[in-house]
Amino acid sequence: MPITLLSLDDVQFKVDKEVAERSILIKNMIEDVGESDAPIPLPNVSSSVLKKVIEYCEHHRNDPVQTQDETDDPRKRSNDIEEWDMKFMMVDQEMLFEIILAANYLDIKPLLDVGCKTVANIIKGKTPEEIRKVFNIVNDFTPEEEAQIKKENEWAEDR
Amino acid sequence: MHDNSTPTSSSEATGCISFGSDPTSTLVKADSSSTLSNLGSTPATTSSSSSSSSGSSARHPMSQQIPEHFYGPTQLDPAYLASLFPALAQPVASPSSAAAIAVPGPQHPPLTTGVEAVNLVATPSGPTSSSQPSLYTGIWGSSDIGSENFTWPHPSKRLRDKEAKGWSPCLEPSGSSEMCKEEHNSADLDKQEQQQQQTATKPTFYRKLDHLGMLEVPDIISCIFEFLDKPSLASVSRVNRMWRRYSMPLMWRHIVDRNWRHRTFCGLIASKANWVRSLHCQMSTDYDLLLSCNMAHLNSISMRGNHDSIDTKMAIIQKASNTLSSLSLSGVALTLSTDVAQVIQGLKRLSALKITRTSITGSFVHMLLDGCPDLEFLSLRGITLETTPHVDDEQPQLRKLDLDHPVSRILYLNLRNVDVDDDDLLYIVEACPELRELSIAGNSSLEDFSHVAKTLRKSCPHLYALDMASCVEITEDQFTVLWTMLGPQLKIVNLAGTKLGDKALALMARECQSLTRLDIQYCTNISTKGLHDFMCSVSPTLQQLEASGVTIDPEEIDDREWVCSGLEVLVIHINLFDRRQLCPGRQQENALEASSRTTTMTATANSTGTTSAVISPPPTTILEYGHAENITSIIGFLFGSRFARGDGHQSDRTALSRLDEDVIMESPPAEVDSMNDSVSNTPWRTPDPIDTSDSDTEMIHPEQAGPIEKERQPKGSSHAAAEEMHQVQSSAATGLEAVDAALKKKLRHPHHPIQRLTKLHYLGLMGTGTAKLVKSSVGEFIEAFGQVDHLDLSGLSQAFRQEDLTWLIESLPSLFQVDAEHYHISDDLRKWCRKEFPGILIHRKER
Repeated sequence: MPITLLSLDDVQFKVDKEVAERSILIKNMIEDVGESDAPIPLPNVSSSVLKKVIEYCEHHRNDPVQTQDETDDPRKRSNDIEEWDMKFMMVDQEMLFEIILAANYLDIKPLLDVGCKTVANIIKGKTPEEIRKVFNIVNDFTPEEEAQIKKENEWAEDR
Repeated sequence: MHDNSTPTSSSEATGCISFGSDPTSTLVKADSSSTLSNLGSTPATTSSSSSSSSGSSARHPMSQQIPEHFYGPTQLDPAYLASLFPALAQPVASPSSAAAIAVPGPQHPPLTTGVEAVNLVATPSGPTSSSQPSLYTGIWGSSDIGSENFTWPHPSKRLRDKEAKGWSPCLEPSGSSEMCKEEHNSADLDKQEQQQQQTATKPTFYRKLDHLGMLEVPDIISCIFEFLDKPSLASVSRVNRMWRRYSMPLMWRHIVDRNWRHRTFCGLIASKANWVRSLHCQMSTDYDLLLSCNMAHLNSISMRGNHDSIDTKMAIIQKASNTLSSLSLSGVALTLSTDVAQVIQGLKRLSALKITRTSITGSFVHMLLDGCPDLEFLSLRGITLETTPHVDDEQPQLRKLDLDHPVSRILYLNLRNVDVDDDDLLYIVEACPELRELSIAGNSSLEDFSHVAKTLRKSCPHLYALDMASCVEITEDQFTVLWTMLGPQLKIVNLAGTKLGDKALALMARECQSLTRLDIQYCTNISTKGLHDFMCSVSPTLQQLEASGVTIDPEEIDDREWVCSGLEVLVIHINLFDRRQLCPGRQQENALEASSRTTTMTATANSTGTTSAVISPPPTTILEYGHAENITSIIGFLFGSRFARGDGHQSDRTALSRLDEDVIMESPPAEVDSMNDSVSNTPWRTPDPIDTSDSDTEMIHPEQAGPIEKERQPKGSSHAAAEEMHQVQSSAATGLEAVDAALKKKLRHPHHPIQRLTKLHYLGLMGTGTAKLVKSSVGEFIEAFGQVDHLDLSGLSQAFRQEDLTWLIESLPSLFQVDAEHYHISDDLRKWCRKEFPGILIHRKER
């Protein structure tokens, strides 16, 4: 049975239940309340983002459900994004961030991971100043503090 | 904890058993149950009131911006719409065009994924929607749940759940540095909390123009940082206070040996001890200092390398007895006494244990089986098992089995290269009734495996994976018994380098009806016909077959007859040329004439590394060219293909292999080339096939952790196996310099699978030295692979030049990624290529 999702700007999306349930949030809602024809409002997700999210869920509809155990893997890698996902994530930074926010809200862990891996890849190899520039972050350290942290964390930069 | 909660099939399919943390499926439950409680509770409860406020704020702007008497989306304020969709702001000029935006017609490209875009709801606003309950009663009306108090779970909620369970990365150690204190004084914390609350409760709506707010959601920041290596974390910690706060615990989470070489590290470790989750100790570690640190959350220790101060090491382990879930001891002493076993027995939460490069007694093994109730994973790979001194021991302990005694809960047992004899193995197997995966690879002491097979059937009903690679003593007849006994329950079997022959293989196809993965590399007793017949009768459940090193004559194989519709990975080597086809007498149309040149074609043996102790020499075919005046050289390559779905989920590996490699960390966490923003860096070949004793890659299928993580095959399109094939590993042989008519002819050979590679998108070239990939030599060859989007150059000895690369990229229009070694593509060339072809990812493996 298809599920209707309602974005914050009131656009309806009809998707298969299987697809919608890639979102644990929606899955739990359906489990708790039972199926219904009425649209499920997603007041935190705009239609443009929801469209992307659904595209992802459609593509991954048959993936095995990721268990929570796996996420505790100490060896997380950001360089194992599969190609479809990588292409999927080739969007502007704002859309990327919106997708991540939506994945977090909708509790779609694999999508959240792919998004975060993408951001991690942006961060990798950049200096703090470059990172601040990319993400428009204000430096709230004094130069002395920053120097001290640099010294303190020198060991971690050893490859 | 897994035997009940995780069904066998799923644990096998996902390959993702990990230890030490409780199965956190409760997270989901927590969410749903609290949702339920929210539904029924009064608005007075904190969670429901906070969430309901979010609900109202979600609609708040709507009611602000849209006059209530407006009924259609056509009358939305364009400025408001523009703020909603900054990306679409340009076309907004008048209210009428704004309407076009709101209606997902022309502005939204047609959805290709099967999602049906539906027009705007006819009456999204208006009096009904501005009152809170009515918006939701549509859904909840039928279910009679108090809709007024219903709240949608919130992003922040997951975080709260996690924090409640101690999941938060921001546990501050008690005595942190001044800066930490300053940063985490209560006022700051409050501020943080507030921010978090705002970010969480403020709907995306409000943040439209400030999507960077994402970087203030702690949950997301932590998630991003999880994927960073240590140098990046060090960089990130200097960005701002908040980022520092979230990066520090991660930086200190996994400590590796070389960290101890830094004085600042040693000075700080005591104050950061609370963050440490795993330790990897070797020569540089200051064990005394380590012992003095209070690591309250330490759950994994790996020690290896030197024989000194075993008492200090044991004291360190003992200190963590309440939290330690995985332990690896590699070469910490010549012989481990039973005192060590006692320490291990005292580890209350130990679920994974690996002991290698030492010797232990039978009593030690007995203590492990007997006294570690939570032990699920045990690897004794390559250990020397000392014979129990029978003299003072009336009943040698390893022989004794008290059935009234609680038996071991071990699920995964690795006895690779351990020379257990029949009796020992029988004892161990009987003591582990929960066994799921067993490796006895490399065993040469077993005399009658059929007896073991009977016992396995009797006492291990859950066993589904069996690694018997290089068990050279096992005869064909014993295999026959094995399939009769265990056939129905086995799913994953590794028989690489064994005496398995056609007869046992045929029986296997009949008996093993749930077989999903089979490794028969270098089973030289298998004939082409035997393999072909196997493929024609094997269970459709088979997904992966590794058969490199099995000599195959392409003339005798017709993959159209194969029934393995579920096949996803196939590795076979097929000689593209063999003597008969190239002899002019045999095939008149063959363009080969004159000359009597002889080329030796050598297969690049996939370095199966640790799999088999006995690796047969690579199959060699001598090519004879009767008259080849016109031929300057010839391309001879062995052909291996991989059918792969490769969806990136590590379902292709057994839990045993995964655990042995991952859970017990012997090497530092992935610290990748930070310059490299590419995808997979897993080498095709096991890098060091020789050093099996020290190698951390111990897998039932050592190859398969490799590059099969490829683009997903659209499901449901499972045609004949050959059509699914979309990766090829072709091994370029010596003398690769040109393609001639014979090859082109060969490519059209009706029986050769290469012609069906319509979905081929991965091309690996594993050369043996002199191969060169330049236009003048292999131009047409490469152009035949126009659909390839991923090229692996590993193995070629060539240093590429700009023109070579340009030609390659231009000949392969779909090319997306190139895997190479450093000597293939220099730094300068890579830089140049990035500029010239920004769409191509050049991925270089670690030096």
